[in-house]
Amino acid sequence: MNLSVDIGGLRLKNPVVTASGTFGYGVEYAEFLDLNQIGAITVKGLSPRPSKGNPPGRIWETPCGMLNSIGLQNIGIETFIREKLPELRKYDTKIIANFYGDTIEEYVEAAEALSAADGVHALEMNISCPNKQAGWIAFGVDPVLTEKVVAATRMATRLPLIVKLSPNVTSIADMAKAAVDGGADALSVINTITGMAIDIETRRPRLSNIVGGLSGPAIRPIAVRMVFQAARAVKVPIIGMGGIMTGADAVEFILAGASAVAVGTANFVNPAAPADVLGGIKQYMDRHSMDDINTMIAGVIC
Amino acid sequence: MNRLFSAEIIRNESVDDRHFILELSPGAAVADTLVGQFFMLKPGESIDPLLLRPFSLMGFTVPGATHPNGTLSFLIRAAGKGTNILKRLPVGTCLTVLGPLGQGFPPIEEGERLIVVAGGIGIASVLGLVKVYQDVPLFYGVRTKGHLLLSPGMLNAISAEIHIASDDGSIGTKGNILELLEAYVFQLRKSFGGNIKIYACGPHAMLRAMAEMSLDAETYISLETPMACGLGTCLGCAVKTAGGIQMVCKDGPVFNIKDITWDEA
Repeated sequence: MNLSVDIGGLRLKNPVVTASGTFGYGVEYAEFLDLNQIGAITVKGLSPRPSKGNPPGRIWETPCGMLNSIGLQNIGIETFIREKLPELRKYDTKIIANFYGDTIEEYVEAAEALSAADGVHALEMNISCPNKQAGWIAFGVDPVLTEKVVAATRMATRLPLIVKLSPNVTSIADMAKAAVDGGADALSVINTITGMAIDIETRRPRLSNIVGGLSGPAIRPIAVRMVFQAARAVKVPIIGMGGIMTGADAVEFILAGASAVAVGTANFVNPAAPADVLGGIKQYMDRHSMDDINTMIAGVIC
Repeated sequence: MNRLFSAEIIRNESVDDRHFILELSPGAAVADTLVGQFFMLKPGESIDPLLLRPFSLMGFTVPGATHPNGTLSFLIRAAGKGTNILKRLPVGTCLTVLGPLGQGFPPIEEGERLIVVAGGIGIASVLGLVKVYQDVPLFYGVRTKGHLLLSPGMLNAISAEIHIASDDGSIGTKGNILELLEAYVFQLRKSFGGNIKIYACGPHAMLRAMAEMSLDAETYISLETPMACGLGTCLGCAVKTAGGIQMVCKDGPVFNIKDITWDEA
């Protein structure tokens, strides 16, 4: 059975990766599953300098999902390279470094620093965090700015560049095209959907940031639809994500047009989720006598 | 020792209309657990509710013939969807369990004196201390007699020195448990020159009031926040401390009270 897929020059042994921000820096999960089994580990979003994130009141569970407004708390690229990357290099899996900057210059700085590190195999550019201030969010929702920031970052790295798109847009197809026009080798679809919850007794928002990103199975049909639309709009491979809990969920994304899938919020519910999702994909392929995962991609009949 | 395991409910017993004791028989060996550490339980197999729920371990039994991996017991308040599902699960149901997690109460050293303080459901997090360390005074504050989660008989069986206060005076002393505590520490300090430690769990307002008291004792408290992963990776259960943002699930839930930054409420 061939499970290997190509994500814009990044060759994965299988299509299951972890979603940024849901798997720490990877090693925290080594006690629950064999990290060598995962196609790639995408690490928590990194910035050139450490970031302390938002004040408490950061998560709230909602029906079949959760809101978060962590605010991109991270240890910074330098500490990541010095302290976390040597541990990750011990595993036979690919490392995707998710990163962001507050300005175009910082995106470039981050991409250069991560590209120079030994053991980073691809970059995933976050232009779509719902927990940043309005000016920053424009990177992910204004196609002109998207193309501009991706193009500048493209010049700063020779690693496969994956751009993670925001679902908080009118046309995901237009955003996908803008990212590819800027030089993206692949796309991650989707980031969280902006949401809000209110404590009706105190009349205060549940999150200190007022709004946050909704993830989990609650957003899955939206994510599947956006992967389908993005896949039809561009030729680059797509990593599909949004509420994947099982192998069956992953297959749905692959049929919609994803070449790989990312397991996110499921890691919080089941720390062995990526291994279980991979097992479920294999069972599906067995049941349908498929010997190559690539024949499943965009296989939806409509 | 796998911290992700399945466990069978062997007892699910109401304490009153809101509180219940859940006792589990784990399907695999459980790592040694300090009082104050916690486990996360999945309320059923559904995706709604989605997340596991964190609960301090209230008690345990060691491995034996009937339960080869011992048992774990939790005192739980049915407060929302997840805990109400747990309350109704029949004996024999298997649950997904993650733990032990977090940092427990620091072990008491030779020559130190421990005082345990609980408010309401907070008794669940600290009761183990009274069992582990002999002759430890327990200060237990409740709103009213009906809210006492363990009978006076049960409490007396595990500690010779129980101090109870209730808001309405229906059991123990009328008033705030912290007033009794303050007087006790003041008296103890007259005769004892060593290190006094107070380990406490209770409502936010109680812990905050403790932080504002000038007790001559090293005080550790167990905090509660919404939580997703329990492993320090989602960064959701943040708490402000003197050293910056920390995670209740990984750096806590037990913290030195001096380190916590209490927001303007």
